[in-house]
Amino acid sequence: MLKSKKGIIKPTLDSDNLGLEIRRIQTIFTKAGLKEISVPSLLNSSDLVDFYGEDLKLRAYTTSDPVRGEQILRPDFTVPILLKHLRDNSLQAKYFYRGNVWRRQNFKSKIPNEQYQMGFELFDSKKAKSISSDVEAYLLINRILSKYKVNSVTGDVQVLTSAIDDLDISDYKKTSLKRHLWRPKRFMRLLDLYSKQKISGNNNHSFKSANLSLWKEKLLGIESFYGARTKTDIKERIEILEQELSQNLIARSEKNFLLKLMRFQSSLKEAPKSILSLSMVGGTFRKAIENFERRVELLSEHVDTKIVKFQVIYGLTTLEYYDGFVFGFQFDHGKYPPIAQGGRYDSLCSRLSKKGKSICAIGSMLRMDFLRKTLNYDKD
Amino acid sequence: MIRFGLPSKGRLKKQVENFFSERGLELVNAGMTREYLAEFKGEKKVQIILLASSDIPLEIKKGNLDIGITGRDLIFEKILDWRKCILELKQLDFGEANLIIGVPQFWIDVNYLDDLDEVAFFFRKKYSRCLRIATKYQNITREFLIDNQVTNFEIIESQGATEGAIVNGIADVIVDISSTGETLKQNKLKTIEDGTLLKSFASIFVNKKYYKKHKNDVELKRLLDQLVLVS
Repeated sequence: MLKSKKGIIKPTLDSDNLGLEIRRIQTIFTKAGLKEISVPSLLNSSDLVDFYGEDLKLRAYTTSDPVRGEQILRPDFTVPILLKHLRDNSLQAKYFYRGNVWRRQNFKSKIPNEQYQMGFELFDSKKAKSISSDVEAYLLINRILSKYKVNSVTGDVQVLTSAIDDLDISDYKKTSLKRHLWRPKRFMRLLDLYSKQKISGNNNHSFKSANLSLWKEKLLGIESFYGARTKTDIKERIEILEQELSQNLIARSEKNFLLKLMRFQSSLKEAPKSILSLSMVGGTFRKAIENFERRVELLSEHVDTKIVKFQVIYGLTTLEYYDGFVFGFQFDHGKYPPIAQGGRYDSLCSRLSKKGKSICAIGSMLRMDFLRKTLNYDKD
Repeated sequence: MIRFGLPSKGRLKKQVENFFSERGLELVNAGMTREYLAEFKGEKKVQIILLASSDIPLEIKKGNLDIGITGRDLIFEKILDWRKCILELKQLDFGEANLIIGVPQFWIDVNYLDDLDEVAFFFRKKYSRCLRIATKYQNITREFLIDNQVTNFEIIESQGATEGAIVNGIADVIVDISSTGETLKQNKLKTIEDGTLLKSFASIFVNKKYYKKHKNDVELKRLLDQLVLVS
């Protein structure tokens, strides 16, 4: 039986079919020059919370241990592998992994709490090689899944961030917009707040509502300060708000362009040209589209990019920490969440690596539990 | 026998006793040495169990208690998906308390959650750490702040005297129960416009499974009639 009473797929791996499948995938990885890497299942909580934030604790299982402190059951492979890779001081490497990850799911979710994953991470020190490793990563998964009825969706976070970089606004505004790309509600609030023409008029931010010079006066009158946040910190923020309130707001045309871009979808083949026709094209954006175009060209040599879907914002809310090319593979019958998902995460690498060392990386995982379901689904 | 859990001490205990006496129910100790067990005078079918109000939610969930009175804040905090296993029978008009965010009064630039998020981000940049939030209500706080797109915060567990955590240097912000706002003022703290996490009060809760099975039992009906219908 694959299904327990509650409809949760049990993650035992004794099914012959799946065992064969794991070996087949392993062979593909090894032939592609990937080396197996293993990381512990118990990870130090504070390391992870530091860069995931408290969100992690909503999704991961935490364990208590009076000796070692709070430990977290491995919620994914990417971060522990990246940390290990950085500790080993290596630059270039190609790893594959297999094992369980544990994540809390809400009770409607079809994703099991304990799931068996296989996947890989490709590290490189040269940014120039990014496009070819993007293609390599996509093709690896494509080869593994070619015997199944799957379709794939791709996205590119860079298209959006480069468009934001090209806006005629301050770095402060660009940073906050990019920081909240992953939170649509907040992003739209910020976009409205920073625009010349505002829609909502009830922004939950002191940015517009407050009388900033009144605050400054008030601040002068306060004598007792305590805690880590100093009087200077507050003064600095008021000054930033004062400046940002009056300068460089987003023009209506720019805002419309961004909104159009976020809604954009087409076939991968058509995407670069169609995006360029959206107008409002600046230097950084053009560069991002050029890279995108080269990637599509390379991919077109191996796969029919007319049937690969492209959405600018694909995966923005679910694929945390990806910041470039992203992709997902889904079964045609659409019963399950994506069987494979992956993407580029260069900024996570630079955030965690030592100064002066730049590492680029792309990785992908396969949800083996859904593969098992389909093995049997096809058999039935 | 119906196992009925009640707070064993504090203001909530007194309020519960008042609530009972208004309904003609008198609590008497079950035995000389057994301070944590009691019964209603003249009612042998209800076993009163006195325990910490924060332990009541889990005991109802586990089925060690069939019914209980406690604060909604505790139910929300202790059992994340409580509606699956616990039924709220009646909301009571006492035990009012709001779970709120408290920041230092001199943070005059922080009036909304979006401000808090931005300050947390500046904290990360300047001090290379998250904004620390001390609270006894870790689960409610985490869920609320994430739902409202606040980032770069870290929750610090605080089992009491949370209002002192900022002065003590343990945290930058607190989340705590406040019924009048007096404690906040005394500690030179203020709350923010959209900073109410939960409006709490006492309620009568019952284990869902138990209720389904026993709702037509004479004893339970008699007890509920007295508690719920007469008001």
